[in-house]
Amino acid sequence: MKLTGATVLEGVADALRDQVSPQLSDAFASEAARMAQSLIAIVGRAGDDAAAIRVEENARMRAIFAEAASVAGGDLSAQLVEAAQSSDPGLRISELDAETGRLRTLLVELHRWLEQQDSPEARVLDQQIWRAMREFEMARAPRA
Amino acid sequence: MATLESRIAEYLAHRMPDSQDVAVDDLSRIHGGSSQETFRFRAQWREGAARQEKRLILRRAPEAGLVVAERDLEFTVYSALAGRGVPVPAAHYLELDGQWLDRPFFIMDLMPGKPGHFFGSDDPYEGKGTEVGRNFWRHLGTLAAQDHAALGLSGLRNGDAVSGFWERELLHWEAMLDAGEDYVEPIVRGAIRWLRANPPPEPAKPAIAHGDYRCGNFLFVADGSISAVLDWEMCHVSDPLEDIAWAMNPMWTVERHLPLEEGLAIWEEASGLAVDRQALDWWRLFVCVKACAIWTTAEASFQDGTNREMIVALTAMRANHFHRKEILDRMEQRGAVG
Repeated sequence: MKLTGATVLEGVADALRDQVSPQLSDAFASEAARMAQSLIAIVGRAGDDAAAIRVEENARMRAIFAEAASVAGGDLSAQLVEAAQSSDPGLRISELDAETGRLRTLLVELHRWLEQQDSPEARVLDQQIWRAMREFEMARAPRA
Repeated sequence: MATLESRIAEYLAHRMPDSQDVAVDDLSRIHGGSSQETFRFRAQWREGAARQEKRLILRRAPEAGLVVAERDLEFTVYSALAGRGVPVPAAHYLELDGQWLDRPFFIMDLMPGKPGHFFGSDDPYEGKGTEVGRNFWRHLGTLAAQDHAALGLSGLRNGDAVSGFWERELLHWEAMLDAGEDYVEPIVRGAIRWLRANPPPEPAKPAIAHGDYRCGNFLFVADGSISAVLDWEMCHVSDPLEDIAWAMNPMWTVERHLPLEEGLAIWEEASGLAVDRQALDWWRLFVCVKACAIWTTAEASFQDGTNREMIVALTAMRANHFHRKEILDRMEQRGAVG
């Protein structure tokens, strides 16, 4: 059986909680070890689906941009078309995060523009963005 | 190399020229505010034939923290609020010269009692939640009743302002987000736009806002009294509803121990002000944005290596998500999600 990174981190977290923290007489150090255990547990559980979450989030934003491009006009519409047709530059977390950052900046611009419109299409898209943001947030929730 | 104990003793001897044989021991670091390093210690000295002893707290500026605190802010506030009905420790010495302990610091009394912890306990007040809750709201109301200008606190952020507190504070925390965000959080930005488009009315009066009034930032004793309100690093002048909204934040609210309406009635009696419930709702969304800004700054300081405290990283990971989710819930109540 192959030892995974997640299992190693789980073991380290358990050791900090059960073996290290109880042996520390200094309250500040003991508390730091306990919090380090919690941090390692959270990070360990975030590894497996980290790329999948980012790929899905980026794809969802591109789908929203594709839909919004026909509602928006001018420069914003051109930016939306370009972003809708873009793809992730790679599968490293740093690459996906940079792309998420680029797409989120445009999402904020689109959201701001939609809030200033009166049309039913804009209202639908506005609400769609809020629902997508909830899904993004819940997918990234710390798991401990 | 001189120990921290000996360096503190040297400083105390400098500040107390009539003392002899100043010694410091029983020094330990404690979690007390995430922005400043906090140490407790015992100081002993002689004055003539009399032996003196005091338990004290040292608060030293960090290299980086959750918030950019002015170095003399807390000391100034502790000094101004002494004897005003809000329990605070006596603040003794403020030192801005880095020659003594490398960074600015101040020394104040160690107060009796313990802080509650909002993570990990359903009963942070050890069976005295009702009493603590009543005192919690009474002290906050007493704070709101103070005249900050008369106390010499016009130097606080917004201290000279007479209106527009909501906009000033929103701009302040938005700038913190701009500086700390690696990539933008559309949820938080959506909330900021809503807040700007739906401003609250002006407050009945400007008030001293503690800025972080919650479980963990005060000490309680066995009978449920609050012996000291601590961690005034984010103190400023604002609408008094800001501190109320922060205190009601579901991450640490005392509502679990005391019904909110009873708490607000105590606040109204102590402050002499009425709580505008509709305006309070605006401030409840605002404090979620503020929380995200605080923990985004924390996240950034851990990421760039200027603060590597476990509490900073752990709270940032939990609190940022918690408050973005809280924003989503509040925006949904406002009909944003349809």
